[in-house]
Amino acid sequence: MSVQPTHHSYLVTLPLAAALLLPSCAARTVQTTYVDPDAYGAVEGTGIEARDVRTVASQMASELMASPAVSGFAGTARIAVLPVENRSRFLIDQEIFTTLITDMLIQNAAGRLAILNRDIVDQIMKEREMKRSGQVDAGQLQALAGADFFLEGEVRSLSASSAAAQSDYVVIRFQLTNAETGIVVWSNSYQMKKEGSWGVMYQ
Amino acid sequence: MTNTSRIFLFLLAPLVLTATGCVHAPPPPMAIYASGDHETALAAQSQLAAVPGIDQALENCRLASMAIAMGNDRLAETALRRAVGIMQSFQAEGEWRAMMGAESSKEWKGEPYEKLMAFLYLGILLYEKGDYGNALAMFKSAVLADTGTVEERYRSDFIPAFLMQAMAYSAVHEPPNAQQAMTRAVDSLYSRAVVDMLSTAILDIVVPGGSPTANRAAKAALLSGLPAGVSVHPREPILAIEATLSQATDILHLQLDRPRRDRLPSLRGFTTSQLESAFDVMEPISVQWIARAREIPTKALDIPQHDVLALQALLDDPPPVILLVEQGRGPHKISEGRYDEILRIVPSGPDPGPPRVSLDATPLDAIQLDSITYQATTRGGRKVDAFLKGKAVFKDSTMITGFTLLQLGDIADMADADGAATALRVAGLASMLVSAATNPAADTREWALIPEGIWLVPVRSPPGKHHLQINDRTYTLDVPTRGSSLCLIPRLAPGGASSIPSH
Repeated sequence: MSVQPTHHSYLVTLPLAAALLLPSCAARTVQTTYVDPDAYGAVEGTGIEARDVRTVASQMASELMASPAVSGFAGTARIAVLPVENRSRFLIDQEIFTTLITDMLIQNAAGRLAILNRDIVDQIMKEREMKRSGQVDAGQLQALAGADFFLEGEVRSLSASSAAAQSDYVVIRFQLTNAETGIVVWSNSYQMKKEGSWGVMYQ
Repeated sequence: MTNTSRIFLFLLAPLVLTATGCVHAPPPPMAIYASGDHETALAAQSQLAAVPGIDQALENCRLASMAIAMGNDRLAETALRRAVGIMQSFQAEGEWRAMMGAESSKEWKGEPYEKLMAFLYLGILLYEKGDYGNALAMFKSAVLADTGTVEERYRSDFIPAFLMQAMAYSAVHEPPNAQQAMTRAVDSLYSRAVVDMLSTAILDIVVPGGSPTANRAAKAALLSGLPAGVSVHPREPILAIEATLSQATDILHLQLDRPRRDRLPSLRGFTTSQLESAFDVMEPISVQWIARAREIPTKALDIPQHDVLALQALLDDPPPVILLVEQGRGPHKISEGRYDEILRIVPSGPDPGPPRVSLDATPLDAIQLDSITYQATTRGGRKVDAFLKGKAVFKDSTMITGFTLLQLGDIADMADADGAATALRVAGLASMLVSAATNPAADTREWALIPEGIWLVPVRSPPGKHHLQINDRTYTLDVPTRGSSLCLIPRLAPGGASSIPSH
């Protein structure tokens, strides 16, 4: 038995071909999905991810609050949270780091801490930079006097690489310094090591 | 209309649709850019760069090049941040697809020389705006992208990244780290000169006791170990040769454990027994090599010494303006082989030489920091190259197998073994289909807008406005009264902002 094509076959042929071919020419749609900030993302390397920042900020805040320097401080301790300094090989958003740390500290503070606002911190940073570059001496620093403590943080990494894999050891260190004496009264390091390997098509 | 006509129309329809759908596609933004309509090209490229897909990192790199050339640093930074995020991620779209199909069906992350340029550009942009910590991160990533070759013996020697690391460390007041990075930059300068010098010196050395092939194999092995040997003693040619002998011996042992096709390209031309015979003559060759090296006048290292002083001065006595000038068109990817399965990176043209730079009509010295073609072509092969070669062999063998099975099917048919004939034909067709579906072609997608050379031009002039000429372009250079500013002069027209530094 033979099948005779009818005129309807044209109605099928052209849309079918179009359906097969047009997607290759058309622009792709961009889709957005919400994911848990603590979840592993679709785009990850061996760097510092959102969940690392959240975990470190949370741990640091609770440990700092429990430290004798803060828990034993008479009255409300005024803390300037300085921008986290990046010495790693990864791009870091200092604002996110600082904001999260500030938020975590305030949540844990229970009235024992006061976080100095951005304007004062900016002024402190300016004065520190001038001091480092020798433009002023310690006696001329004004804004530093507004704080009882500075909370400083820095990120450093040791990295190794081969054609097939990469490894990064990351240390995020925080220290609390008495603004008046310059003595470090508390510090702690948070470490992580990540390794990743490239698929054969990328080696 | 006959059935045949209808079938013909059915087959033709896709072709017509393809033609009408794609022939009228607009020219690619890079072509528009080259025609001089920079704004239109930038807008079109921005659209391409915003679309997720396997080429997103590449499109963002291209966008960044255009944006830098047009003085739009903010857009360039955004594009490079996107590209770098993809390059640093281990996740990749289309990797499995590329196992069978063309390599270009995988997500583009760039070859190491393209990665290090993306990191370098982003680092420079961040440095220029005072974000020294993140700039430093990118210069470190550039160094890391330049390590990890097939032999894992290659020490990064991307001088601009070390130089910029030194400057970034200096900016964040870490002098020991700044000096360490500068030492690596200086060592790399010496390494280049010593490698060149010793590569020439070994050429006509022949050890009488060894066969010509053993001599050639030994010299190929020694030259393979030379960069690693020199990296141990970058400023001491004699000690570098001794280290090279040790490295070459290790390399030769490693290569002998591998199948011939997986060996280093420079050693692939020798059989296993020829490579084994090289052990006997490597040491005598090294002895002669050292004797030759002793005859080379120390003046041969004078040029690096001149450049070294200029580099070191960037830390010790920073000039008010530091120009990084791009010159010439960067390396080009081509594919070779029966199925285009061999990737080769070649120069885009003759060496463009140094840029012509003058300030108020007085010529300024330009120091070559690096050649991107050198960076792209001195890293040995990729593991994926061996995979692609295997795919090419697989494509051939499945086609031959399929053809043979079809022939056997015919023979079975003639012998009235209908069941066997059908099975053989089905298997034969399947094998031929697998062969047809296998595409060993190497990935030649490239970031073609990167430069061939990066040159350093320190400007030590009184504060105020000056007339700066770089090749055929003119700029107004505002030399600051204090501090030191850095400016990248892109090779692409229009060559960045006409006023330096741009505000």
